[in-house]
Amino acid sequence: MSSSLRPYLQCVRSTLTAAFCVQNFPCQQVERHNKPEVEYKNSKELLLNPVLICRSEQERCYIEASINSVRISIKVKQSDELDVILARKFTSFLEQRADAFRVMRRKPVEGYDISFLITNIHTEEMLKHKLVDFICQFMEDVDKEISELKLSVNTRGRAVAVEYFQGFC
Amino acid sequence: MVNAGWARADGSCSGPAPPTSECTLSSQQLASGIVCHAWNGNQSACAICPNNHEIHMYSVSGNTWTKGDILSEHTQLVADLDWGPRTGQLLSASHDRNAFVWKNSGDVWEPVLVVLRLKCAALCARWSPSEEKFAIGSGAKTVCVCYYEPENNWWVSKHIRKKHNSSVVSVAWHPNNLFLATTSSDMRCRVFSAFLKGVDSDSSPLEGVDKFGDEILDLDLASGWAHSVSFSPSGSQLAYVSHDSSLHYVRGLSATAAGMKSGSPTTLRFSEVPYCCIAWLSETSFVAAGYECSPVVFEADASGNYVPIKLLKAKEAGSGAAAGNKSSQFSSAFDKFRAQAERGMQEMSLSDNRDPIGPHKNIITMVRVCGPGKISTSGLDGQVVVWNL
Repeated sequence: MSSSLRPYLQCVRSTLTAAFCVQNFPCQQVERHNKPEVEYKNSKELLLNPVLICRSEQERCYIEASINSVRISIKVKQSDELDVILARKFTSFLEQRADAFRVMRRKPVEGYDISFLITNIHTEEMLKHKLVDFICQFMEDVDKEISELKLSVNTRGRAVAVEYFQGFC
Repeated sequence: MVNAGWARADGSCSGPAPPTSECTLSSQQLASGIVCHAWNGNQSACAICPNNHEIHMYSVSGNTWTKGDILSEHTQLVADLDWGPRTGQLLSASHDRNAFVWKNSGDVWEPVLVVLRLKCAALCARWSPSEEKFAIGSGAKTVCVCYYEPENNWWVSKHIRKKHNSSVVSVAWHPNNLFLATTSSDMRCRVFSAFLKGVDSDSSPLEGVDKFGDEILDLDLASGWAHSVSFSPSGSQLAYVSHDSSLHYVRGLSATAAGMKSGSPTTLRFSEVPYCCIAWLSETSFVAAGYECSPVVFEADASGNYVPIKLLKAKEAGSGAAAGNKSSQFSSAFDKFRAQAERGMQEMSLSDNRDPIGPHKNIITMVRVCGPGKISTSGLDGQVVVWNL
């Protein structure tokens, strides 16, 4: 783990530990409804100040907490055009299968690559610290995943180019 | 502002750990998650809500819990339960905007209608000390104080409106049967006069506090949602917990014609995740529990300030100090490698939040006093734990 990744993930981890203190809280406007306040934003007093944690210009994590839900949006590092394409393909692949992840949103928050929505139902069913572990593990792995993809695309490109130019020499 | 033992004002998470106290306990796994529980007067029966619309009744003798009736009149999550110790009536409040008073006639529990007239969910319910009325806090930003109407065989409600700016999440009665403390997610704790003419008596025993719904105390100490509030047994002290990991208490409460007089309020701040429930044990101690998954007892020191003592499960008898130490070292190393093998990767080096050490593995949703020197906690891990202090 690189030296700047460790404090970044540590910061995300402690912020999430505090933000995941959610409770079952029914809607104050509509009877018999129970919705994630962070998505509906009907009651201002039920929302906490959002936290933005940046590792670099391109890489950041936005945590919006409320009384019964937390939304975590992640911007994956994209240093060149290839990174942008890979990140888009990779996150859209995951988002199409969002149901399998249970805590993932089908669409990311504007300006971010991937978003998670965690409600009190998730913290009731799953252990809180394991959820924190999952998010942090995901953030660690997604970088690894994309740089590996980039490497293999480059290798393949080189192999194709070599094959192609062999015909001319 | 006072910082408790291990907390630091700058919010840093390091600091000396609070002193701990070992106690014996018995735990029961009753469901996958428990929202609330209530004991009857002599602690021989317990009602729980297993995180759905049902109420499960258990009869308790010693360590054996026998499942009894299932009350399923509600259609949504039962948010709070309270059992009147004297009349033996069970009060339940639910997110479906209804509340019921359950009467045990012979073998069956029968619900008595409560006319709440609420627009949103009922969140909390408490019997008054006289058990002739009760209070329900709601998501409609109102508090209902209900009393019985024998002509119609139902409970009717009187509302305290337009005093709260958000949902009322907890209510507590003063032992004098007149005052009602509420905490709300607008971060405040308030005390109201809940004197009902004709129900309590014809005139208020306290001069000046006879109008229903008068706000007599407003505490604005917290900077997060206030979770739970409780009066001490004599009613001279009031404590509440809030989501900014702090605990607030006022001492020397006394009612006067001009409102409620109180000593200067004190705030304790902690570096851990917040507490969400609180209960007084005596005039000099109370217990708080919540997201931290283990309850903490606060006891008054010589100067009257409350200091925290963390409760731990007593170690099994028979393990000698030296030998036990060595073997626990060995087993912790063994566990570490076994965990690595099981998870198929190295334990995350960053992981600083390991499994909770107490018997509860998830949030504690409610703490209640169940007899002298005994408290019970229920958690979202589905356990009810009785602690012998």
